[in-house]
Amino acid sequence: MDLFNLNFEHPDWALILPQLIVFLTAIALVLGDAFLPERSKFNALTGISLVGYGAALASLYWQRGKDDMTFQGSFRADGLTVFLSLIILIAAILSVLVSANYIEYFEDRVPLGEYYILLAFSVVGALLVAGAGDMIMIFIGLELSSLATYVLTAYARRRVESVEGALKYFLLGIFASAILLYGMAWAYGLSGSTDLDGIRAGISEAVAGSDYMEASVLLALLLLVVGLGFKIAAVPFHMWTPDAYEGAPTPVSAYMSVIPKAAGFAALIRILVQALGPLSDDWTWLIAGLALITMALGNFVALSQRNVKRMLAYSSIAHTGYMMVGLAAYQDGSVLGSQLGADGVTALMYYMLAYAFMNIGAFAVLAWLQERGKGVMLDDLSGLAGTHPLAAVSMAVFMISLMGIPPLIGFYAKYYVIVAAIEADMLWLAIAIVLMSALSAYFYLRVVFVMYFGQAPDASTSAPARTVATPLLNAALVIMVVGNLALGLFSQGIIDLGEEWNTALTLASNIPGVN
Amino acid sequence: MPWEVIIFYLIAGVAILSAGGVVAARNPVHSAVLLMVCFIQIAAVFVMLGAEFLAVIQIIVYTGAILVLLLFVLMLVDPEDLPEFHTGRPVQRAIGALLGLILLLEVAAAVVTRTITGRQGSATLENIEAVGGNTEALGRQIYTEHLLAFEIVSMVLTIGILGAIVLAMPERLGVSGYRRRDTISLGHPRGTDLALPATAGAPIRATAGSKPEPAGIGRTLVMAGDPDEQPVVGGGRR
Repeated sequence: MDLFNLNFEHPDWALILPQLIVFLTAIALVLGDAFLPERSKFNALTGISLVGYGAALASLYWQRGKDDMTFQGSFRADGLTVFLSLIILIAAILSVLVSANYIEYFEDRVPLGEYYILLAFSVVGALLVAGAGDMIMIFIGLELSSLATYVLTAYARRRVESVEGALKYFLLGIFASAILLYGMAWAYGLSGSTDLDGIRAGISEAVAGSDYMEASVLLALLLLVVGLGFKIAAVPFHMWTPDAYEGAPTPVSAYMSVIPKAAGFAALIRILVQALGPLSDDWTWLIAGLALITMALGNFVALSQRNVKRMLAYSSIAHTGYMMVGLAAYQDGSVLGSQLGADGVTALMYYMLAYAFMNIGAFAVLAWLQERGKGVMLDDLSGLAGTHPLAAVSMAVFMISLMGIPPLIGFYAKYYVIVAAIEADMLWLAIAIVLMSALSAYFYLRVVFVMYFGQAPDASTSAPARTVATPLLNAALVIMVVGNLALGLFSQGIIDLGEEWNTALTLASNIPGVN
Repeated sequence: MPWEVIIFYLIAGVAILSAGGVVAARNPVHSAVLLMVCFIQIAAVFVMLGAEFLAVIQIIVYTGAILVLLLFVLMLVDPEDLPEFHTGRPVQRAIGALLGLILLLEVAAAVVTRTITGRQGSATLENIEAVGGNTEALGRQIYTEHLLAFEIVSMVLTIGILGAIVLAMPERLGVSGYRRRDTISLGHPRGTDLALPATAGAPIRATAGSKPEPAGIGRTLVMAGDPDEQPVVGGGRR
């Protein structure tokens, strides 16, 4: 960045293709919402969303193996970008399928067009974080993603819980953003660069040869972890999660349990591994500690929840804890590619992909039931196997997968994380995961138990069951059940793709003037 | 002590005092005015650092736009509807104060013990002079180095506008002629149709066949001076 020469290279648009496609989808949705006739809107806008995300997903095929940066280093196309984009886009497609009918007909018929637009912009933000090459892009991508999510949380604005959850999410979220930004300012002050590789070079130069950690570096690290810990709902920054998940319309809960979390983890990986990798001895312990209390609190509080949405919110906190173990198992400078499983970051990303299939699925079943006039309390699921056997089966698959029983995807996700933790000499963390999974069996299996052995409510007293057609939601449920059953068995290909993330680290040496 | 240092400490002191006043003031309008004082002091610090462009932006955007907007909001909202400040439980306040103190000590420790000064970037005073000044240097940075971020910010602003419209737009599918009768405030549910507890806790059910009836019609307004007098309006653990 020479101030004298305007050495502006023309951006390489091919590198940013998936992001560009989703952005154009968002623009098409804006125009479509404005100009299409009212009655064709539902089909057209849903179609535009699905085709857009699908095209972006397909374009990832040509992104694989790329290892380059554009926009003067602001954006990077490497293995990490590809895998994170894959997770985000799959979750986006599933979210659209889950939300379409719900948003159109329920929650007092909230406007559908704006919903898709906000969703698309939020996905763009998350995708930009996945490929961010400097702190500024990370911050702006996170804000784009979060702002849209705040609005989506309040989307059922007639319902007090929705507005309340959104307000809590919003106020705490902007507070966390301020903390994150302060941490970034410190990192910039210490390294003289906002570029991730520049920060890596500056920090490793500054701390080279000194045994003790300077307070200012530690402060920057803490502020960054606190700010991002909020985005991924790690304990003790999780206070907004139950209310926001419970209050939001169910498809939005499904969405925000995956995509903003994926964006938060993307930022964590980019910042901690890529920029602050030299400090990994210090931050792995910080992340490991947070992971332990996160999974403990999430599981223990989930035990007492009668509201299934709220239970899933706490379970999502617990799963954040499991994912953080993958990050804690990161070892800087070690040879990648272990014999047994995968390295920590790959395990984390695989977990995130698995989590998208499990958790969106669980929320999707709740949305399916709500569309048929049922509530989200545990009692509403009572006797479901008799009245809606297929819904009960899919819910059981998701619950068992979340619990981590082979051969479902949830088991493989936990397996890779545990192996990574053991290989990083964090046996205690691996044991904690196993114990917590055993504990979580109680509240996951309780749902299954209630569905299969509970007394079905008397037909005369309960609300009359309505027959509604939800073809998109049904398709999504089928996709997710199949994904849960199959993706675990074919995990090796996914792991191989995930392990390409480490191209993100080799790129640093290619930049002139950094090393 | 050179004059510049004395002036800097004067400005910094006023900025810190007014920032404290923003938090401590009981009247929100006083807070807003103190915030303006704080913003202007920060603009003065920017001038002292030689960043006159940022100083002007500080005045125009923060003092000019954001603060005036804030005052408009305060003006439009019934003073009785303003959220109650300083209402946390003593334990909460004590923990908050403790955490704030810890953060302050951490920052102080980091500032005092800091030896890493970072690398020198290209934005030195001489370089900035050479390209013709602050504004030019900033423009060069934004339109080359941070072009992508600059473009994405426009998306963030779009989302902001869109979100505000979505949340504030009158119900377009609801009963025509229905209007919100009162203002919406964060603290007091009084008079806000959003905070009426009638649907709280009820499972979400679309009443098939009937037109959705807006909230607030056919219900009595709950007049409550204190938020705690309200029946639980969601969010409470059930």
